[in-house]
Amino acid sequence: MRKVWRRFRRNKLALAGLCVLVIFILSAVFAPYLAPHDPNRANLRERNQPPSKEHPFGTDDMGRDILSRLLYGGRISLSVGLVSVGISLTIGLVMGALAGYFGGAVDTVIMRLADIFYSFPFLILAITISAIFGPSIYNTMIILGVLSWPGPARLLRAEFLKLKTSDFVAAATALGASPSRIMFRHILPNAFSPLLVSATLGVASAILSEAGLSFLGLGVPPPAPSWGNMLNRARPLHVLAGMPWMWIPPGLAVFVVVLSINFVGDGLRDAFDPRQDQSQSYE
Amino acid sequence: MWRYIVRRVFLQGIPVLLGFTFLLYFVITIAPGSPVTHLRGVPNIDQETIARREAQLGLNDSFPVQYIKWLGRVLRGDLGLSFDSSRRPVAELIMERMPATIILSLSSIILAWAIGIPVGILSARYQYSALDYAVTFLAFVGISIPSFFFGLLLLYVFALKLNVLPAGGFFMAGEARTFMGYVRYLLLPSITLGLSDIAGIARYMRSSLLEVLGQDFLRTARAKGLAESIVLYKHALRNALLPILTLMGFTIPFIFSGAVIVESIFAWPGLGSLAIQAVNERNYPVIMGINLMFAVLIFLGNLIADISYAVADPRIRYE
Repeated sequence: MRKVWRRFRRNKLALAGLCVLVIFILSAVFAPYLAPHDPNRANLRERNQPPSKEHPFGTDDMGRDILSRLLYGGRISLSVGLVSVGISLTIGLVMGALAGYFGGAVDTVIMRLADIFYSFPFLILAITISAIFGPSIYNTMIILGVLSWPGPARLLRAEFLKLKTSDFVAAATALGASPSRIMFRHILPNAFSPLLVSATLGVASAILSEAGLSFLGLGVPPPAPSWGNMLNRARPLHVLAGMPWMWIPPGLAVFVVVLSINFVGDGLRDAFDPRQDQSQSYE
Repeated sequence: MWRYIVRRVFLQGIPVLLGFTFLLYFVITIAPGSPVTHLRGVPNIDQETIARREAQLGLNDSFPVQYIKWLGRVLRGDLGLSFDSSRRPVAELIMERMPATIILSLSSIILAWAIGIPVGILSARYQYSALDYAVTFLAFVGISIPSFFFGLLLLYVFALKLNVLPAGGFFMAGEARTFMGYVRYLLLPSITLGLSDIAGIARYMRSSLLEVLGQDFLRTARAKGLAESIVLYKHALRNALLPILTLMGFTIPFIFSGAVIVESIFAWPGLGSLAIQAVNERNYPVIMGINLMFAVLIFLGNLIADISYAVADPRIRYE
């Protein structure tokens, strides 16, 4: 682990990404202490104010403080990203482990199912499901999580196929370990590093998807602030043209966080596996 | 080659397509509210009429039977009627919107390849140069910037501030469809939609070319005294482009996903904005039809990618 950290540290972009990310996480965690105003308190006398001393990032069309909403929005965007990746990892782990360990018909069925999920435009399915069950924070987490399981499943399946024939698995089998014990206690820890990389990059794309869904009005519903739905409110052309303080900060926030996570993920990949070329994969 | 394509279509493409329709039908049926819900609100309607209507619509059949019947109708081109007051056939609505989405997607795919491939080649050719680092960094920016934010930025700068391009839309009624007109309307949405693919393709091209450049047959080519440019463009590039072709099939779902957002930003009259509209109205027949249409488009896109791969790589043909 120490070696990994040393290699990671050498990658300047990854290190910078990590620092930025830590700042964002801290500001989300401590949002209640950092926010100058209540993010949801409307004040009709202070609508559409440009940035000022009182409101460093200005106010929106209901007179709410943009900076406070940005900080609280970070909590929602980051937690949607983390929780949905948790869901997709859990499903992907089970599916990938079953497919890779048992092979045969189980493998075929699971992988065809993965093809179905994979070969379809994610966002179209996501808005369809969100329309059916109604947009909410929890539904957004579940939709993003359930729709992205094929990624980790494929990865884990490949690891299982690779490790299944290794000596330590043969030894465990000979000692009478049950399949589930072999799968989760013996093989899984060995697949840790590729999973961590994929989970990191997964958080980045989940944050992007959440923002996209909320931007379309089908993700996190107002009045709760999320970076995506803050951008959604800025879509009328007069806001876009005349009040850039309403949409540039949340857009930049999504961009900077996703960029940082991608740098960190890429740095992790190199640190775990220095032989691999850094631009090997296509997201 | 035909055997390869037939195998891809019948063993992979069609089962995936069918599986998708089944999943979709299932999700739509578990949606709250049934097609007869609205009848309950109608005054003077008795239970008997509702029951008759339910029987007419086949709602008493078991789920698999309903699905098969629905699939049969779909195969005959009958996607049902829109829920809104127009009651127009869904197939008609979709056909009306399809051309705009196809034009937008194609132009952004072309843009992505036309920019991504040369940039990737240059980046590999001058590996570890300032140019290479710049490309790598910009590629990260390209895959990280949310398309809606990038689209709004372009709109803000080029349409609202500089006022040189239209702020969305696609030909006003009666406007002449000139080539320059297409360029003006397509430019911003295509760049927005294609950006992450430009980045992805450039990165992939770079690593693919670098991998090929390290192989033995290129050392032979250099050893026999060929000029570096011939080694690069004639021997290496041909082989490096092969894996990129598989990307084509892979990126199509992403393009269509992106189209939903891009069409919504630029008021583009395509399937994506129809989808948003249908979703907001809970217009299930239209939602269903659009999902199906996208599934078919992706199926066809993958088919084209498979065929071009088979044409380009002789090893596939005789497999």
